[in-house]
Amino acid sequence: MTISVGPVSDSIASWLSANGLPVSIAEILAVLLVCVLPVLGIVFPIAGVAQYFERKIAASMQRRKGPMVGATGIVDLVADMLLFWLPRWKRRAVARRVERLPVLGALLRQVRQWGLGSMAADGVKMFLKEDMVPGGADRFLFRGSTYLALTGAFLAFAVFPFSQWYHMGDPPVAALYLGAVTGLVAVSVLEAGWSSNNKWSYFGGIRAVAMIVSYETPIALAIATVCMWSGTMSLQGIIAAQYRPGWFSFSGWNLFQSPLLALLAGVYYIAALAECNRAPFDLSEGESELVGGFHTEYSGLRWGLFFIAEYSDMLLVGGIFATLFLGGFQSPIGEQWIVSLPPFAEAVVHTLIAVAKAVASVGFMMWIRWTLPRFRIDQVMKLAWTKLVPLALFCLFGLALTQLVAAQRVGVEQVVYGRYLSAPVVRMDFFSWVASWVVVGGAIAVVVWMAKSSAPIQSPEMRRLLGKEPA
Amino acid sequence: MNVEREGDYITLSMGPHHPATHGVLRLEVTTDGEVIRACKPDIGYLHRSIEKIGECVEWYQFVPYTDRVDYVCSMNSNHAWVCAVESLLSSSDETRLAIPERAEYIRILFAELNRISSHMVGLGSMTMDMGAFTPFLHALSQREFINDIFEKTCGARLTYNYMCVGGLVRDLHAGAEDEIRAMLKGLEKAMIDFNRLISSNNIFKARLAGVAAVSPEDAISYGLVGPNLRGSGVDFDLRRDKPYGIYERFRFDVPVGKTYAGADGRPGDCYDRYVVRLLEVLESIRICRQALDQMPPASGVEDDPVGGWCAAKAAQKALRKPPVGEVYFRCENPRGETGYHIVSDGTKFPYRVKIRTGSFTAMSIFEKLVPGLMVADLVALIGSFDIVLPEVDR
Amino acid sequence: MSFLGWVREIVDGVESTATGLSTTARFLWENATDAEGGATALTVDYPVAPARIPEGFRGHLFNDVDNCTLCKQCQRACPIDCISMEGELNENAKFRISRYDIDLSKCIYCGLCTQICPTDCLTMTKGYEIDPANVVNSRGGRYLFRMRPEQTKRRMDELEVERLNRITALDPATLSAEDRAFLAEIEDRESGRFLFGRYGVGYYTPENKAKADSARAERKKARELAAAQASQAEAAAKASPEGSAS
Repeated sequence: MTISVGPVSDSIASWLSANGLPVSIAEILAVLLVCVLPVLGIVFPIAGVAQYFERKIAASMQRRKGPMVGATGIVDLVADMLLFWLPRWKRRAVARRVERLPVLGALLRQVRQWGLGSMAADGVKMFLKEDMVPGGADRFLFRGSTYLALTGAFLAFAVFPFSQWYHMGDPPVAALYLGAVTGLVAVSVLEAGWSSNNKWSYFGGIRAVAMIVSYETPIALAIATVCMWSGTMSLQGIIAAQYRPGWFSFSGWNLFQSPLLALLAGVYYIAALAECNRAPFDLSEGESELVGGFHTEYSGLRWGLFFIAEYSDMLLVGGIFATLFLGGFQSPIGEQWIVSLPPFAEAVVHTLIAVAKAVASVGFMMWIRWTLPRFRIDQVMKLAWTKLVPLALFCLFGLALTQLVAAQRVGVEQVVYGRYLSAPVVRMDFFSWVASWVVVGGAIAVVVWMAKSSAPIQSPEMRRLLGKEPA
Repeated sequence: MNVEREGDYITLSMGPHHPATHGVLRLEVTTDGEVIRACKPDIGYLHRSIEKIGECVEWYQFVPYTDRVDYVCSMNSNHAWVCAVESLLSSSDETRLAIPERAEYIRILFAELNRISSHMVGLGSMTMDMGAFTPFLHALSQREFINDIFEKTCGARLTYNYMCVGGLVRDLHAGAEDEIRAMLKGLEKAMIDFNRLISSNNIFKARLAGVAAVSPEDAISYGLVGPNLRGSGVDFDLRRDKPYGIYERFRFDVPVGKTYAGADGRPGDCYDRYVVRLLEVLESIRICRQALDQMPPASGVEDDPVGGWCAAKAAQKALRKPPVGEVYFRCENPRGETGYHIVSDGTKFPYRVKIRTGSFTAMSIFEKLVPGLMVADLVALIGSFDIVLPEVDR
Repeated sequence: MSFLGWVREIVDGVESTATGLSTTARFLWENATDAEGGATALTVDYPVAPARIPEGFRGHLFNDVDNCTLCKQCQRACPIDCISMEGELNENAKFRISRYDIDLSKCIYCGLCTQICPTDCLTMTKGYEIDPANVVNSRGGRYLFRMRPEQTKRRMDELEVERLNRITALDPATLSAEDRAFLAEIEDRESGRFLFGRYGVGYYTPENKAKADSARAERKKARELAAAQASQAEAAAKASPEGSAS
């Protein structure tokens, strides 16, 4: 029986066994390496750095400087460790002298100017804070909820397409698997809220479950629609269906195929924000109401695990958004030549592109967080059930109709994309594409215009406040 | 989790430590899921016996204590106290003080500037409670500019102790008028940005529209004052209807709640009170500009009746032997009517100081208004009433 | 709700989100390009950069004891009762202050004591920092200004006071023998270390002394101006009844 997660682990295993390791050990090591590397090498560092960037972005929008921690603590710590025999004031004197060296000093001053020391400070803080389980809490559930949250995030990464040659797994029902696995977050939040023996945490947990369960539906509908459009549930297949040869590879991306897909992308993105408990849907951790909501009682590394789970979730959701609508790991220009690179180079380039798109999506989530206020729980659920689900259904039917019509005109074909063969999909020609945008887009524009013309007029006081009239 | 079972309700202590209670306020909230069934305020966590201390310090020494009655609008509290004492002194001819005209103008200018900065805090923290962190900091950055002006004039950024019985402690610093004008211009621009960002935001309006509507009759019968009263539609402002100082020389409008939220709103809801405060900021800017235009120039002499800044010697003499009597003086603070009831027995110590504040009476309507709201709405309500605990507890 | 109302709600939501996003993007851009000072207009990188303190700031108190007459007005004016003082008559039958304490942990920096001081010897400096190494004594954290009677007889000049300020800021283990002897001579063993000197109590720095002098000169000028105006008014009042009577 071979243990393998794909061609990459196979080649690593064969290289290891060729260099002397027994085959089964080589295979296990190869699988571990392939599975652990994305998590440790990509997700963890980004989650760790993300907090610094989030704070700096927030500060920039709020006209302040954000974290400005320098490297003085680190220099002091290193001096203490290396010169442990000297008295304290001498160690400090040496540390101050080190900070004035020419090259190193300039580097440390830049660190201070950008406040990069806060990354180290946050990490150290998470490790050193007291690990406290509140009295009366359900200890098993209290600890287990953090592990479950991480599990939910990382199980989904198992099918995340980093590139053609490098991924952990490519089941033919990856999209279905994704929808199933992201629901674990809801369970973990509820577990955390309940087991804390704290009524405010309980509120946070209950709200989170209601919200996440409500938003599973638009997400599932969006994923199902894209699967219908791409003819397959495999994520690699969805990416293959978006392939266009030539310079302008972005023309194949799902986002630009039809206005209904653009609308669906918006629906998916909003629902994904809700799945991550991210503003404007952060009412389960609503800082102004519940202090910390479900994670109030968690401190130190346990809170750190929730925090990493949240940022991994954001990365994951951003990556899935990119996969479904932005062509996944495809480059916007010249994909034809990138996909024909040798495997190692192709893996590196494609992984970088995929991660860049995910990070851009995370950045957009941060932008939204620092702009919008927070919903109330009943408004959240109303939004999901009365707006997002009807919109998603409307897009589903509209796209099915578009496919039918286009299939009459253009026919159905399979595309070869690197190692993969896409499912038979409708690839619209230029005329169909223009027609879909004009017809459908025009219809939507007309409805929007009719809706806005029946809107009530703004009161003069509001106009004065918004600067549309002189004060 | 252990839950005390009183039927199917949960009793929460929205306790003195809470990010949204704007201070150390405790609300005992009984909820049925998210919907609140009962709410009982529990105050007194910030009680500092200021009224009792008023009986132990001299008339002019009480001014720093009034700073701390409501530290967000400290100039207005100073103004209320010194006007009350001057009104007491004016009941007898020997002790009547002639406040220099410039001092009166500066008092009103600074009181209105402090109204602006207090509303920045109130509006900003309300948006922060609703989850929007950015507008809070933009409001506070405008407040920082106002604080810079105050710091240059009187030396402090929060508890100013700038007004004294008889006038002001110091005159305006050099270049104050240009600075204030420049700051007001920047403030107008910043308010437009603030409103574009949050006040017209759909989510924000949906959180506040129709929440905790207070009818005008209820507002009057529960003793609400200030923007809370005006937000319910009652057109009453002490500065216009019972002017003190020289407020009758200024022209300004009084904003009143008019269901600004549109179809989803109800008259007197949280959004009305919010918009009333926003409009009050614009009106205060008008008053500040009028004060700067009308102010007589400085003469450099302290007790010059036109261009001076303090009738200090006369005040010191009068406060050693004030007339016997009592006075209740009402001022329009940013949080509503602040009344100082002072009783004098002819000595240099007050006999009794009673401070009536708007936030304290606003607590009385909680028990009636809150049942039926959700927990998130309660946070909106506390923010929209602009309750500050030092005023509640004194 | 009607279909158009439903569409309108969605469109309003998208529009207000877009407006909000564009506003915060503009804030981000303005801050990144330092428009109108950006973040540095409001944020001071204290303690790397000094805080921006204007003139007239109500900081720590400074008593110029050479001019202090022990009238106790400041003690009476303080609303917190944090001032206490002692003194004795010297050879010219003038009060010389030997102990002047302001409990900085109680002081609320209201400035009432400076308003009432008749000789303007009590002023407020721009100081706002207290270095705990200099201050914490056996009573814990109170900054007391104190001179013993024999210390009032020792007059130190500016150089000695500067030396004292410099030495007390260093780590005691690193001091030389002469520095230690110098300190032992003037240190108040009973309650720890204090800053004091010829110009009396508190933070002697040439700036504080210059500021106190200029404040006193200004007030003197204002008083003289007021007195001149008052005498002019009196003269005018005396002249007019005579003029009108004649």
